[in-house]
Amino acid sequence: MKFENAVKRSIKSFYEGRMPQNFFAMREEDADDIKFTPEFFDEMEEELGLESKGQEDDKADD
Amino acid sequence: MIKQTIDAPIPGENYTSDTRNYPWHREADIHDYDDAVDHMITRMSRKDGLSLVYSLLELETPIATITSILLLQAVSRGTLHIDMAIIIAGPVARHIEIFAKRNGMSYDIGADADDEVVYTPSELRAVMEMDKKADAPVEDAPEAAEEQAEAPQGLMAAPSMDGEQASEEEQMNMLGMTDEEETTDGLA
Repeated sequence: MKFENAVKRSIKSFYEGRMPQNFFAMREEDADDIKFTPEFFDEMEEELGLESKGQEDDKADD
Repeated sequence: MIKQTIDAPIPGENYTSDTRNYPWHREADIHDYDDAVDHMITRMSRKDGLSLVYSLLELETPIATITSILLLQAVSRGTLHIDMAIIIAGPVARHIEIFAKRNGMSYDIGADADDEVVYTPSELRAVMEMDKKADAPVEDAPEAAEEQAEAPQGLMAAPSMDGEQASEEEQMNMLGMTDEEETTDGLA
């Protein structure tokens, strides 16, 4: 697999709200202590007053 | 003595080079997930990183491609291991998306697009039609070329002076070929 394809897959799964749980388990890190989660960026968007991904989808449906 | 004409590596030459000098062959600087994402966000917040991301977004480059570029830079510098670069691609892309939104820029994530380009006959036909349309003005070019061919073109050619050329008789006089000379020539 090319690096670009792997990056695309990683981005796609992050946008679907998935985190690399196996990676954290292997490194004996607690996934709850991770700062940069999908929720972190959703909150950042809200704080900045930007439309979140969900709101954009709702608009597109209308 | 036989002169060597082929410029190729000697078999086994690869074992003689010291590959430890490449940054990506050494241990990466950052191992932690949060530290890696933080490093990339800090890098994108710097002037050079900002200008690069902004310019690429202006060129309508998909966010996935921008992410790949930034991560490959970090890998080539030995800051991140390639596996870590792939793992943090999501947060980096999300940060670029927020940056684009804040600046009111249109963007495409580009994570769904396949790298493999599949050509279809209709697509190729459409591209060829576009090429034909682009070539259309060239059809007028031969007429222009003919006009140019009629005009004197050499460096030593006389400038074109329509209606100001001397008559044939005047030109013969200027060349010294008068009627009198012609008769004398005939007598001689």
